[in-house]
Amino acid sequence: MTFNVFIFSNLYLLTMNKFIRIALLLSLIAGPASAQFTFTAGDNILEISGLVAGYYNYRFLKPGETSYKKDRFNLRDMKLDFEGRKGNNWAYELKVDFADLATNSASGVVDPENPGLECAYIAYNGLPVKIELGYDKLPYSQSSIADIYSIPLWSRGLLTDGSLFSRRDMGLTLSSSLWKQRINIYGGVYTGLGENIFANGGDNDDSGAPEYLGRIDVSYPSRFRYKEIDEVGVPVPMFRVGANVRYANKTQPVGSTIPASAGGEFNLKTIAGEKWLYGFDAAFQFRNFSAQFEMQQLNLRPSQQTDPLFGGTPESTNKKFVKAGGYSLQGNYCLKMARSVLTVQYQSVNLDDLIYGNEEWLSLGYAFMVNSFKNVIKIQYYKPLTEDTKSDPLKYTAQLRIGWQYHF
Amino acid sequence: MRYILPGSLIILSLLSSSYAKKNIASAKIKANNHISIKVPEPSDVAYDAETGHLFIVSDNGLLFECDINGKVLRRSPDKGMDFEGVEVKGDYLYVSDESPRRVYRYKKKTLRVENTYSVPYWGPRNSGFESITYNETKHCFILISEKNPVKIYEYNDDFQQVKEYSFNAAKDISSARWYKGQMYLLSDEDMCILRCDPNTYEVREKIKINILNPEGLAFDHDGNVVISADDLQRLYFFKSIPANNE
Repeated sequence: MTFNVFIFSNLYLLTMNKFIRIALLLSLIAGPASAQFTFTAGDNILEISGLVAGYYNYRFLKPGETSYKKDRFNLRDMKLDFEGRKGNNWAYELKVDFADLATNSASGVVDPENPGLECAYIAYNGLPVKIELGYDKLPYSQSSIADIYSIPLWSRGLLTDGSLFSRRDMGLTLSSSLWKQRINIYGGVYTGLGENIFANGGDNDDSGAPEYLGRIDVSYPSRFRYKEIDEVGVPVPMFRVGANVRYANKTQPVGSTIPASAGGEFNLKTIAGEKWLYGFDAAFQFRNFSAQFEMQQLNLRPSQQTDPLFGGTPESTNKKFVKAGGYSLQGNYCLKMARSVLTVQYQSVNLDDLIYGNEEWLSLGYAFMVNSFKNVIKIQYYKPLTEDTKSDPLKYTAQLRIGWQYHF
Repeated sequence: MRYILPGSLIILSLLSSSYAKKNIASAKIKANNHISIKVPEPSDVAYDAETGHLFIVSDNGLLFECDINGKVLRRSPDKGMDFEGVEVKGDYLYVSDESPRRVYRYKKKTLRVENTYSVPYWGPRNSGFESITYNETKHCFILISEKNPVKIYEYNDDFQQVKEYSFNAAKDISSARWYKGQMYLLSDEDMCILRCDPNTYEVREKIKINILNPEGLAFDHDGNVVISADDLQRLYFFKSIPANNE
């Protein structure tokens, strides 16, 4: 702890000073944030927008660790988004992240979780139920649904960052809204490979089994958009609760295995077997204060006793069943007059109930809005309060990210 | 040196707040009552002095005629895409369709479109012209881009642009109304009405309102204020605001 404080103080002097000077300069020179561009031709409307975000990452390494390669500037996002409409009924969108494409191209390997394509779909709105076909973010988990440019931290955290479940996939989504958009219902069927569909050459795994998904959320007293910050300072308390579920049975045919990397870092995203995933989330905002709660529960039945999820335990112990999951609590306050957002987030995650260990994370965030949250300097300091040394051993005791995000 | 961060933040906060502390008169008003209306996502409201009715437009590209209590009397058969502003002028209604950047001229009696004007705007699709009103002081229409940035554009009767003004006194503008020689602008995110000089659009007074998502602004024949709220699908009624007594 003392070591952390010492390092932090030095970093504070070296980095923060310069950064705050830049922030001061920006606050003096910045005009209104630039914005998206819209082209119209009759009933055809095309909007182009994007996001550029980069940060400096510093790790407080454990004694004995010698690799400082994660202390670096990182281009987090360079996204371009083309969103179109044809009349009242047709919509389409194509979003690409050039930061991921450049990394994949230079390394010659497609990062299965960041393939570079963020969405490509067509949608029809002319029926009571909206129909969407293509590759897009899944309507699962409020934290995952919220756009990255609208959240006050640099990362969502382990629970909802895509480590436990895929956040995007190819498939069909049906959705509908009721009661002045206070109730939203989603249902869909997808390949179940998530972002890994591209690394697998566009094919499904050998089971060919899809993943099914459903979500419902209810807000009051009005519709509640997926934003984590109350920039406006709403004059009435607003609530939203949501529940969602996913199911896939990807038991592999004899002699087959699920594609390499499909399971993700913790072998949880796609499993060779049956996977149920339940989630519950809630959000609140009032007079610039906002809070989010979320929990996730994974019930897994890997088909083979050799599956690493069983952690080598005998069948009599594991009963062919593994659980994982956790919860997250986050509070934010938008100090409008200082153009600042303060955030604190706590997460508790158990990656495998058969393997001893649990991890807890604390994140502290500060964001300075140069003019709005479209043009923002974000600082995030996060550290494990409890480390899961078996399932997720770490080389560091804390991490600091300072960067700038510009949404145009 | 340990005080660099807090010191800097204080300076930043002072810099940030300085623009908001210009010498502008301010007041606060409370709604007398509100009603729910059967207009989906009401985005603007205009008062017709001839009939005493309200014309309300919807995000769904619909135009409604309602009585002063918000009861729907008629709905136009002509549908648009994303109606965000409405104004009454003589025998006509002028409606701003935000996404396709159009203004429709409706015949008030029939509620049918008689003419369509193209009003190009390259900014964000959903931050286009949310406000339309006729500035009787300068004898021109004005359209205002909602945000990023807020700009006031003046047009002649054929909707040819004649002048534009930058506007930095609010985060966004969701409605505008000329009334008795004053220009009133409604800000959704700042939750206030700004009374402005109708020639220069300089803010003279800021009137705070405590309403979630206010999007439309109208004055009835007595100067009472009517505000439509999109998300809650409501009309709010206020007594005349202090500035009307000038």
